[in-house]
Order: sequence, then C-alpha cells, then structure tokens
Amino acid sequence: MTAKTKRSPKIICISSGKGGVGKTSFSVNVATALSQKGKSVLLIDGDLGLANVDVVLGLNVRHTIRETIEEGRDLASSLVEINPKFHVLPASSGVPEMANLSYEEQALLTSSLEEIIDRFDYVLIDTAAGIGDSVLWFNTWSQENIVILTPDPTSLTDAYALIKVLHSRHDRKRFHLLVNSVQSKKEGQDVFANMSMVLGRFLKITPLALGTMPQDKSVSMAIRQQRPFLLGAPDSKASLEIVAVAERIINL
Amino acid sequence: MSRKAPSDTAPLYRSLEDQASQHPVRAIRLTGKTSQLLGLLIIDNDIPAADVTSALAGLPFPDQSRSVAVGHAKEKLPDLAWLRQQLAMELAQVQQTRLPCALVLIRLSGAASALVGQVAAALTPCLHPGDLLSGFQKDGLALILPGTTVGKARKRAEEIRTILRNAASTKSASLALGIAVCHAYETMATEQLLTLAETELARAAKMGSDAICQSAAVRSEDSCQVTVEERAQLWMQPRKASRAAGMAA
Repeated sequence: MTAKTKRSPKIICISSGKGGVGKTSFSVNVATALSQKGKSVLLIDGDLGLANVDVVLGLNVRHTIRETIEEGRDLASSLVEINPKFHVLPASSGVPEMANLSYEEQALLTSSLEEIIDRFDYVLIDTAAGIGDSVLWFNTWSQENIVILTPDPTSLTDAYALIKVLHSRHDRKRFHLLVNSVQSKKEGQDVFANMSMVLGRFLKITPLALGTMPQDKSVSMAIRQQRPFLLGAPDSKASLEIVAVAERIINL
Repeated sequence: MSRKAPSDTAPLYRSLEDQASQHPVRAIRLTGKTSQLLGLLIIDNDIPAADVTSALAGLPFPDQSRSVAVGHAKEKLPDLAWLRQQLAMELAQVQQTRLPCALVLIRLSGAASALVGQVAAALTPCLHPGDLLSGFQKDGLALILPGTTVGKARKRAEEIRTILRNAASTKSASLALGIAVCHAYETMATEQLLTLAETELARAAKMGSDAICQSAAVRSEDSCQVTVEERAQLWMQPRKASRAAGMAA
C-alpha cells in the first residue's frame, strides 16, 4: 500500500548492475546537494549486507536496518542525522543473510519504511551491485530508477542487463542514466547515445539523461577522507555537475 | 446481539466475491489457523501486489503471516471449479500489476483423497499471504502463487517437497510437482496455464524421484539474458559506430 500521507516523498532508486562504478559516492553527494537546496532527504543504504554509505560518510553507526528485521526495532531509531535536512538509514556490514531477505522480511521492511518516509521530500536508495532480489525489489518499490554506468564494457553490459530485467520482468519503463567517470563531456554523451540506441532498438526504451560525471581527483580524495566531495571540493568539476544533477532531480 | 453462526456469513462472502468480480478490484480471503474463513479483503486492482502483501502483514490476525485462502469450505479443499475461477482472477491481475503469477501442481501418487486434506494442512505453514491452495484431481493439490517468478516458484516447490518428504503421512506416496508461470508480457488464458502446468506435472511424474519440472514456454524468463547482438552494439566504439553507419548507407 502506498503511504497514506499528506506529503508523499519522491522515492528514487540508484543502481548500476556492476559494482564499483560510483553509486554510493553519487548517492551521498546528490543527497548532500539536495539538502543544500533545502530539500529533506533520507538516504537508505540498500546494500543490506555490505553497507557502504556509512563508510563513505565516516559514520560509526549503532543501529541498522538489521535490528528492525531481526528484532523488530523501530526503524526511526536507526536514522542518523547528517544535517537537519539529510538523514541516513544505515545497513549492516558482513551479514550475508541481510542480502537475501525472505518474503515476510521484505514486507516487514516495506511497512517499516513507509512509517518513516513521509517526513522527507526525497528518499534515495543506494542499492547493492548486481541484480539480486534486494536490488530488484528496491527498484520496483521506487518511483524513479537511476542507473549509473561508466564507459567500461563491463559496466555497460551490466547496466543494460539490469535495465532489461527491470523492464522485462517488472515492467519498469523510466530510466535515468548517469554516466560516471568520463574523460570528457563528449565521451559521456557518446556513451549515453550508444546506450540509448541499444535500449531503443532492442527493448523499445527511451532513457533519460541525468548527467555525466567527470573523472575528478577530488572524488577519490574525498572518499579516502570519508566526506562528500561536494563539501571537500565544492568548486570541482564533479561538484558542479552533482549540483546540476540535483537540480534535474528536483525538476523530475 | 447473538453471535452469528459461521454458515450465516459464507453466503455473504460468496456474494461479495461475485460482486467484486464485476469491478476492478481483487477479493482476498482471510483465513485463520483452522482454515476457517475469517473475512474478505477487497483491494483496488491498481495497488501493486507488494503493497498488498505489506498491508496484509500488518493485519491483526492470529495467523497474519499465513493468511491464505483455502476456500469457503471449512473441512474440504476447494475443487477444480474454484481453482479455475481464482486462476482467472489472478491472471487478470497479472495484466494490472505487471507481476507474474505461478501455478504449482502437486501430485501424490498412491495417496488416498483423505490424505490430500492432511497434506494441505501440512503445507499451511509455508504458504504466504495471497497464496491460493485447492485440491487438484483426486490425488493432488494446486497452489496459485501471485506475484511469483518461475525462479521463486521453483524455490517454493522445493520447500514444499521437503515438507512433504518429512511428513509421516506422505512417506509412502511418490511426489511430482509441475510449475507454469504467466508473465505480464504474455496474454494467457486460464486453461492454457493449467495445461502448461499439467504437462510439467506429467513430465515430473514420468521422471520420478519426486521431480519438479517447470514449463519450457516460460523459460523465456531467460529472455532477460543479454544477447550476442545486444552485446555487440553495447561495445561498439563511437568511431566504429559511425563507420558501420556509413557502410550501411
């Protein structure tokens, strides 16, 4: 049941297929950018068994989604405030069972999430890599699907496969593509154009362009420093693009 | 006000279900631990199955995690006519929710019809909210699994097989399970899905050894596999793409 609330948040899922393409860094920074624009944001770490959001933010979390699933703990008590407009719901690390929730556990998590999300304007879900159950489930629960890809053939193939599964089995139609780690804007545009062509030709899908993120040393430095690059290097190319992406998300 | 006897409400629920079938809604039977019909939940077709499941999980029934419809009869399993009716409703739902629907047929060869009822009771703990269980022919059961892909239906069938193998009452019976799934991208009539599942059931029975078989027709779930042509296009470099376009011209 969709949340019966006065204000329904926009729920956006961020996936990629392939791991290591920058989902978590993107999720954290776009959430930060949205909060800087006055939007209240909840970022859910959807990699339920191998959490990364807390690592990228340098958080020491006490409670995670796991306690809600296993002990019935109130999900709200696991929220971590980054700033008054930006909260994180962390997942656990090194818990393989959390990566394969049962039908009932998924239902419990869904109902628990729907009790807390109505205070936010945006709910972003940083999913795990791959096309496992939790990835597909979070994507079908969301209203918008962002797929992150890089110019590497492995990333292109995995992103395409993810979109194909979501479209063919779960009838998802709207995909926003973010091309990450590009050497130039043109490279990003070419990657998007090619992916659009393949999606259109074989799956009759017309994806939407969310943006192209440049390769930027400030990104890797920020990750090592465990803080968003938007805060560490606000004038960097990556930061300028993430702000533009946040604006596009607001205008969805 | 005196308490109503259960038989007073059975016609009411049937009437409500008949009315519901004329509208774009889904009628879900809510049953308790004894399979007694406790009530009827009527939900708009536009609500996704996952949301329905979430709502059902929150209902204050003693057996809330196992609210499964096993028909209006207290003692007897529903028959094939009831199964066909439910299947038709679920297949209509597939087009609305865009989620697949699986049908699992279970045969217990060498089992008396009284045993089938005991087997149905043994399966109740593994049923999920929204699952629909009925009798099938004289020695079998049919299980409708709304919102279930062929992979998940297979896992459920394996779970059922384990439960039945561990049950004392079925030790002497041989098991066979057949699975068929209808997806949103294919239009399938009730009889078509039943026939597919029966074919798989017959195949499993022939294989013996408690086999589980699934319909080859819906192995088109493998259509999600990235094809050679798709890969070739994905990996095409911009300069190669323009050269190919130039040659084609």
